Amino acid sequence: MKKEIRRGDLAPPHLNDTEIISYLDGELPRAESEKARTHLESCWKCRSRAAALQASIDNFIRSRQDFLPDLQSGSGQRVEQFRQRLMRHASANEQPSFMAAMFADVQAGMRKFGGGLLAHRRPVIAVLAIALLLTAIFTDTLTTKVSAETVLLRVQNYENVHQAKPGQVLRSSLRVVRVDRASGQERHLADITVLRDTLTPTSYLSAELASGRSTHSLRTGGGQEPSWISTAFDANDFPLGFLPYVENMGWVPELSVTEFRKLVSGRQSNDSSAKRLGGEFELHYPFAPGHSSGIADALLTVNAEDYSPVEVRLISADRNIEFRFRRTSYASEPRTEEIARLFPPIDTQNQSGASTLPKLAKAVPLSYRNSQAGETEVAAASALHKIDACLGEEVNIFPMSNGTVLVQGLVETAARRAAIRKALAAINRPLRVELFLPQELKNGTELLRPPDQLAASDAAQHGTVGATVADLSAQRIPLYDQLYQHFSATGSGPQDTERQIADFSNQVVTQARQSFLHAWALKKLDEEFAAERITRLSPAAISEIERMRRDHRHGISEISRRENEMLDSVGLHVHESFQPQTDVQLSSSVVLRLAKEQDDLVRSLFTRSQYAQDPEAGLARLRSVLRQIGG
Amino acid sequence: MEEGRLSISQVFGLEKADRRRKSERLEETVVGLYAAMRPGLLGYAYQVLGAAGDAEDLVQIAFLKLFDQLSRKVQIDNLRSWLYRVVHNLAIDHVRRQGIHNSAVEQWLARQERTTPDQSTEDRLIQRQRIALSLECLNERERHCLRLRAEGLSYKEIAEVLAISAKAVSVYLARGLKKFEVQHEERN
Repeated sequence: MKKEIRRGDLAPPHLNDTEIISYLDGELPRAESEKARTHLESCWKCRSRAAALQASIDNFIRSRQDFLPDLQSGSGQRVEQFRQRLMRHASANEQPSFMAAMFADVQAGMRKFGGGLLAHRRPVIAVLAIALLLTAIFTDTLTTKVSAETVLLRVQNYENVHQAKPGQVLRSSLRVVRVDRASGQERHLADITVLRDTLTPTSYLSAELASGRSTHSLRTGGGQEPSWISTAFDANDFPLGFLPYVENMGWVPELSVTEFRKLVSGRQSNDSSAKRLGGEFELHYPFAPGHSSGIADALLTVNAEDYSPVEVRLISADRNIEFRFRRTSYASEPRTEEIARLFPPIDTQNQSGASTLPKLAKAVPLSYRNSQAGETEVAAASALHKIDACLGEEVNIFPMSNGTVLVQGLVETAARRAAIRKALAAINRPLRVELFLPQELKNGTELLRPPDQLAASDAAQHGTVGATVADLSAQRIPLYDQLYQHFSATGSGPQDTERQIADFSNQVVTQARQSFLHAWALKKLDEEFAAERITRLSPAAISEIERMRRDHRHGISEISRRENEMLDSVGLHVHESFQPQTDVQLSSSVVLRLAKEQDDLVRSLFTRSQYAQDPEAGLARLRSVLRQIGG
Repeated sequence: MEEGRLSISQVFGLEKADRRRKSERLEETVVGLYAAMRPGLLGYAYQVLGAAGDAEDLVQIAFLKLFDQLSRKVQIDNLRSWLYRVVHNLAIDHVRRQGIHNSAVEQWLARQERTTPDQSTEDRLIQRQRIALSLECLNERERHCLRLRAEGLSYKEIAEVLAISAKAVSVYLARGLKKFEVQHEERN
């Protein structure tokens, strides 16, 4: 006994393997961890054991790596496949579960009333009838609640899958019928064929009227298009105001989501609903009452199996007449020579026949330095700004050599792509939009180099949102001790304190990243709309650019202020020298440099990071940077 | 959600994205989580299960379950350990039902044999076999603990997945590592 105590006094007992591993994993409680650390410092034996255990951890990791297959391979397709599976799973569950619940209610009611059933037959039957009626009404509203937008997104998915490959054309045909709703009599008005080219931004449209007259037109999607619909159709067949309206919306009679959105974008109403009728969804987009187009409703019918669009129906204001645009075929086909002749030759840019300049294969993007900003560019930038696509997303606006504007980029999800497309479609200007999902890129050559110089700098490497994730694994962040002191003072247990630290760190890191993204967007705006590029813009466009700049500056100063407050709130004070505050507005380059620095500092202080950082000095610098950009 | 507990969006740094997509459907969130967490879960399922094809399916089933839970507004405290637990249980069930045992290694060996072996691959094959055998002597719990830890789970998370205590996790890890080490040394 005595011996034991004395030995313990001289040197604390050695650590066992469990303790060493828990210590290495950062899983020991604080007090024990401290004890283990001091012991390891003083004890060769335990330190060598710790090294041996670390070595076998390394061996284990290596062996595991060696026999695992490549888990990343085909992940794009896998995700897409899972999305489809989830969609099926979700839509299979949606309605039955609700119906089941309703019937369960009714059944429960029956069981409940079962005893009295014979005695009060009539009231029970009445109650049941009402219950069934309610069921009918509610299921109807429920199916209505499957939002029209959701279905449209799925239709867009369908279209993405059925796009024509480069070198092909997409042919879609429609049959246009006018129906007298009272008598049910149908009159065939026309057959429409749309050929969408993949090598030029052109569509070839042709209409054959029932009268035998046929017209055709080429659409380039840029600039002022000659009116076509009003010449293709017989105005007498349509309500007054209809043809001017669709002409004005730039609608091409086709069943794509883009065209449908154009058709309903000017309806002056935001209502929409969807209903399931048998094997089809019917999306209902009512027009404002008394709409100048003479249309009361636009309906899109979608196949519920594969989400292919089937038919667009337009109902006249008096609801006596209905126009049906029914898809008769939709497929891509090779761009044969005959078809190629329908489209402009690929080098139409050289209008002067005598030009000796080398011919351009197609419209090429211009650098900002060699072009002037147009109103469309501003409108596109503003639309992207409104949905935050300027914050760290790889979406760029390219002025093209033929005067058009291209919005191109890489987005994470199909839903995000649809949202961006929608926002861009809403500005109702001739834009070409090319948004890719990562799995759609074959080798990256599909993406043009950004038109500004910024992407070349190293800041661009931080453009991914993924980098914001603070590492939550066992190792500790540099400010751990200070934060631990603060959070444990509130009396919570070690587990909770750990969580609070992780939570707090995450929030700071997220804020810092946001601030950096705003600074990045501000810098991009300066590049894109530099003084020499905006001389031709209208005052409205210039003030729109100013508004976007203000938004970002405001965002940066707000976030910096919040970061400062957060640091205050956990008592991360520093001794610092006096910093002169300037009233001068910092240039966007300086703001970007500072925002980048604060983002780096925050990441080095609040995440487990590879860069060693003296917490005191880092914190002092962070405070001073925040004060500078906080303004 | 209680104070100090991380939300799903915080764990994955999706705050901005979340705000943006608030109006969009749960499906996209689940697909996003699937994309982010697939490799780790797949690796784990593959090790427990052996057959890669099934591992994919199994991980997807786990996410379909997640979707069901979330759409029923069931609160999930720690998403990561929840997912690993579901995958773990599915895989164990599958293994028990099919009587497949530790065939990941065999599969790997089979894959290697199909490719033309040169001298160095042969060496590596032998090496691999040794590793496989050195894992063989671990018991099930020890293997699970080591594998989950290698996926980056904390002791508490592992404890939640395997329904044991965090203390037990540290003991299994130490024991498993020691056995692994001994075998590894013997074979070399």
